[in-house]
Amino acid sequence: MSTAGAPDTATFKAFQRGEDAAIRAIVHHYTGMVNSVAFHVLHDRPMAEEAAQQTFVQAWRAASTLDADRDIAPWLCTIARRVAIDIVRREGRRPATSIDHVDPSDGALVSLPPSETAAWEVAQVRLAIESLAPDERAIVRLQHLEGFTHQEIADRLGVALGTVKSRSFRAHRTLADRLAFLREESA
Amino acid sequence: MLANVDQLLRERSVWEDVDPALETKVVAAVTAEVSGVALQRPGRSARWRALVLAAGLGAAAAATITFVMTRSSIVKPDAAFALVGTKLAPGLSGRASFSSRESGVQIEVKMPGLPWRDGGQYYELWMHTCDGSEWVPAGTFHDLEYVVAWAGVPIKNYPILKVTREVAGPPTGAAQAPSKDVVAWGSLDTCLK
Repeated sequence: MSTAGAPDTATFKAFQRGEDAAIRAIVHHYTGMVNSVAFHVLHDRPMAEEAAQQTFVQAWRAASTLDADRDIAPWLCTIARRVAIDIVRREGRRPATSIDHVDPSDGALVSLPPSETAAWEVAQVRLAIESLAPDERAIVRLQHLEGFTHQEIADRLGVALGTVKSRSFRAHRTLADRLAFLREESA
Repeated sequence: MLANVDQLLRERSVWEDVDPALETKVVAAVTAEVSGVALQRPGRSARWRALVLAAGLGAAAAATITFVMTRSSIVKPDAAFALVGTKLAPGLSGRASFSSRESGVQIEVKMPGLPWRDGGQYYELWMHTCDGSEWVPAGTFHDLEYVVAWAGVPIKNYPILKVTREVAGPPTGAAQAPSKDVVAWGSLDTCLK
């Protein structure tokens, strides 16, 4: 599955050559996805950002080995996951501390990294979210991440309840279409 | 909505906001890598132009000029990779190159922008194995604007280079170990496989 609005083959070939505009285009389109995958592994924003930087550097190094006609999202997702796991290992080599003194959000407490499939699902959902219009995205976020009702969303955004419902319907239809493969794969 | 998607939409990671500066940092890191590699691996046309130019200059120079080139100036690095600043050095990037010499591995590091450390505080370079079970110190410095370090182990066995902040003091254990204050790191691709 190719990602909507993704840089085309010519852009990726220019990226392989190290052209500045192509680097910016690839980074602009995929930074959110790579950051989400890294955060999914690390649960830490600064470390996820560090992983994102390393991911794109590693991607450029290996870019010449990838067929430019292929969707690069799965490939970037794989690199991001591996880089993030590497950082988990690195952070796990800190001096031993009593478990009572470890922050519950400490990345060292993550026992098993997510599978490649789980990381790819996160990547796909992130790309699907980014494809939504900003007003639709805001509603889906409030609904799912914050757990707000349609009425609460309407009050918070200062728009009519009917508007929230129609935008929510459109957004969820778009998401269902883009992410239908998740049902097909799990069926 | 699909149950699995519904569950994923409740995950913080899929909604994680991206710092607007992150794109700039990423582009800077990739560009630094591209610049470094481009210096070592010029394109075909660039190589051809360089050959023609070198042949012309060489013919002219041979008649009139004798020059001495030291061995170190013509040895290409065996390996090189980008260094990326951690949360202790956000946005910084640099480059490390490794050349095998008779007395060890020469490590050239260029990472401008780190604050000067002195008075018992310093930066230290470490070479690591991929799994982090072994490390070798490779020198201490005030900054990493441009430094040359040495290590007695091959890069292929210790493919990670890490920069830490250290403070002088009595030894705390049997073996010298890096602090947890990692300011930058980079590695060969072998650690990703």
